[in-house]
Amino acid sequence: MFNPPGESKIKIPGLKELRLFDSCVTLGRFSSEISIKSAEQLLSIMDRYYIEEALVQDYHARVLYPIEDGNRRLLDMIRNCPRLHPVWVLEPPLQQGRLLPDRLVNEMLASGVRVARLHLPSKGVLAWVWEDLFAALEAHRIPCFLDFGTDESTLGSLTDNDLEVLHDLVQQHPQLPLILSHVMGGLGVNPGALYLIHRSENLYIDITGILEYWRKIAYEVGPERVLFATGMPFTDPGILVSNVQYALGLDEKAKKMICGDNLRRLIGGVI
Amino acid sequence: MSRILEQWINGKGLPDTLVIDGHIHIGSWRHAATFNNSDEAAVESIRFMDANGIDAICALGGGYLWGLNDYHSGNDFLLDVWKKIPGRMIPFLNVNPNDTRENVLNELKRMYNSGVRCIKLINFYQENYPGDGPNLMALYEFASENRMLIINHYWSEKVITDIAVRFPDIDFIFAHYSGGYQDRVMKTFSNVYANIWVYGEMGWLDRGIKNVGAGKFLLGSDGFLNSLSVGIGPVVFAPVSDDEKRLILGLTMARLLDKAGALPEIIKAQLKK
Repeated sequence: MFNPPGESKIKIPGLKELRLFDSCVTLGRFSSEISIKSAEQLLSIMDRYYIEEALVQDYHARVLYPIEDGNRRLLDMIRNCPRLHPVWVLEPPLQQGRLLPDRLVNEMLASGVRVARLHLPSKGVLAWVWEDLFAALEAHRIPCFLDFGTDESTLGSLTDNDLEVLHDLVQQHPQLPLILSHVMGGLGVNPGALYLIHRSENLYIDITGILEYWRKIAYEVGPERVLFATGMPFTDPGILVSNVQYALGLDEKAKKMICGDNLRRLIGGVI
Repeated sequence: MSRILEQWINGKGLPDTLVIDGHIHIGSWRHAATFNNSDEAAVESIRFMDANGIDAICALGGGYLWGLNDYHSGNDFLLDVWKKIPGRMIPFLNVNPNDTRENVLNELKRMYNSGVRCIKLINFYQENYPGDGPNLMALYEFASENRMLIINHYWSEKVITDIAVRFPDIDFIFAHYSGGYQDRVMKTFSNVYANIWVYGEMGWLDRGIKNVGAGKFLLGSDGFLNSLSVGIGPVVFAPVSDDEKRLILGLTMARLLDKAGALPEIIKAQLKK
């Protein structure tokens, strides 16, 4: 047996005390051994990693039309699972104006769904395409997870053009909580993302960009701007589950905020 | 429940377990400063290690590894930090094989004479110099004569297969485990291992352990840019025995470092107890 210094010398909170709330989980069978096929399987994975709650989107809602089928299937799959919170994938209607976006958002809220996922590349990362839907979502303060992934995965990366568009959208909709979700990019998040977060009050980032980015935001802007996420099944929960727990320079309150309280606050702010 | 997992999730780190992170970068970085100088690097490295229950790190250098940057400067920085924390850090020298063979061999000798026994290669990001190009073959010859340990960002299946046979005295480590051909190679050759750090899909390490056995995997995080727990997490949560977790967390790396003459004395003494 080996002796200390293997023991952590800095006070680290227990994982359970942090009440992990995963902000990016994709549910549903697809053609890979990694797919999470049922709510029961997902809950079992969450138990393994001490994840208390999760936001969940349907795999096919991101890629197959009508996306309403995937969104509705999700509600069926997670019915009677209070630890799982539904996320609907939304896309902007073709017609200009608020009528259809408002109807879409009202239908979502009426179905008990208080979080949206917006796969911007699916309709073009263009501010004028998304602005009506953003306005409808902003009216209800609905947390929106910005998805720059591929058809096969939520894991994505940001281009300079993406950030240029986001810069406009973030400023035009200051009451809309926008979260960069499962954005990585090889050797790191596009550095412009950090500049944009410094310059806006309603843009958040999750920890899946790994590297130093989320920690820099937590230290320099504040822990209220960072959310816990695993991006499972496209990335392994084991990689991410302890990152906040064992981080240096953050007290327990800050760690609890990142691990779940920030997300609970955003969902609680929906009107 | 696994005792290692229980201690970890309760914030106790990894007591009673030798932990060596085999994949850490120290030095100026490409898009941000990690540490401002070698004094800060030494102090902060210890803080990161202590927070995560890590006994020692294998330090692979920072941004001087890349492209045409001056590898001598990166090596000098490693030596500076190593002098300050010799019991907690194992330096891995780097060269750029695009330099002349004479310069490459001179740097190998300089670092070997300074006590360094391990090599980090990243020829993939050095204008994709071939893994079996003449200057790297000369490096492998030097490493074989001196029983040095080598980790590389990437070797193709053909190259690692050739050099694993030709240089049986060298232990070769894939810096990023990716499954596939790496599994075939590790199952075939006793002198090839994989550092686990990769941003893998759910269950990637579980499947790797099942395919080739825990004894072939070495802890790694790509810290300090990454949180060190990105490497530890997949191991402590893996559905394997604590004995297998200990192999990955540190025991196998300690054996390889010891064989190369690079294991810090303090760790050697602890292991003998």
